[in-house]
Amino acid sequence: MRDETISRRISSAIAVRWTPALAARVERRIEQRLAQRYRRRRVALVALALLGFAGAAYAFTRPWARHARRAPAVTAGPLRPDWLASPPAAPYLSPGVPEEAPVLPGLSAPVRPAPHRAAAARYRAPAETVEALLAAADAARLAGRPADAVEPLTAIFSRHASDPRAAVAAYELGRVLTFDLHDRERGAQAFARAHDLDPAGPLAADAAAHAAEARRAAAAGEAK
Amino acid sequence: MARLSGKRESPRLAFVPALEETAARRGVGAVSFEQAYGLHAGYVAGLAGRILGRNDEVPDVVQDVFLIAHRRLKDVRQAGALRTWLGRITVREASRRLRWRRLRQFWRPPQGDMDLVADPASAELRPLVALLYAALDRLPAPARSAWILRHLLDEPLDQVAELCGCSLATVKRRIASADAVMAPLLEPDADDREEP
Repeated sequence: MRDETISRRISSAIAVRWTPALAARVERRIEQRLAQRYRRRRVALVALALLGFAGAAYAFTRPWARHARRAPAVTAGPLRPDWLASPPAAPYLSPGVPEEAPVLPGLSAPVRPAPHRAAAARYRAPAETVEALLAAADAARLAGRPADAVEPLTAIFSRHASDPRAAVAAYELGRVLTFDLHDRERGAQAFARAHDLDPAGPLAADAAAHAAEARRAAAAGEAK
Repeated sequence: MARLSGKRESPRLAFVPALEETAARRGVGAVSFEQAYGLHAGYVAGLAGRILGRNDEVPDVVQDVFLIAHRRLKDVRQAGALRTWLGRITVREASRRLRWRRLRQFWRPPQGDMDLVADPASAELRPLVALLYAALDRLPAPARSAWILRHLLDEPLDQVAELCGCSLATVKRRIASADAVMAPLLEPDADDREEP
């Protein structure tokens, strides 16, 4: 059906234009594209390396920094309850050796692990709030340990100065220092601070009077 | 082209980092990318031009083919297989362009005279070439490629299958379906009918 001569004639009439100049032009375009590809690959590699470096730096530094900042607030502090600081004495524990569970006579293995250690490990100190600090100060004063109330009261008006109870805490500190601990000079400073924190408050006048009185007493004490 | 085949006379392609050693390392033996371009760019251009039927798209296809070749040069195990491998890439790229061209014609029909791959020396056959490619435009791209490889380039069937990247049976089927469309054009009296 198909005539081979027609096919051959058409085939011979087809000529694709491909000259040396065209080949050189295409070659130049290939060069540019390849150079562009290498450039992009280099940029991508550098970006990837930077990203990896930044990620590694973040992963290995930030948590440690956060932990370091948070650590003092969690572990140390005046709010740790007494029952944790001084563990309850078990009947089988001698006061000097609280570290390990004892081996009772007739038994080869410890009866149980020391319960206060497990409790201490589970314990997480509550967040430092004004309420907690006031409670700690009240507990110390009621227990007859006014010296222990100084730190929480100081913490209230130094770290939470914007709280409305800061002036009350400073006033209380002045009273503790002046009347319980007989440190009139520091007491005068605490009363002055109470006055400064809330000059128009209900305790302002009393604080100013106590401050003046404490200062005078301190001066008289020094004169003696 | 002479400066690309054999020893390099100008530093073209030289700034592309480690091009030749990359090609050598990738397993094409003594044929570097530059030499491959010099040896086979003409073949790739001829193949692409005959499949597409237009001269203006040939440089783009050659460029795309050699960019792909540069990326995948490691796939070629033997230097002798380079020509067929480049031919297969060319057929694939040309078919892809044909599909795009057909899609593009939906919203932008071809205007004016195409840059047809007709020999200017044989002006009397130009209408016949135009008629041939107009008929080929009605075929699907795979059938068109297979028919052109078989009848315009006189490639054996197994080589056509190799270049099209399909089985021999598939190639025969595609050529037969294309023959059914092209037969009226290539009948003995068609030549006389078309020529004034």
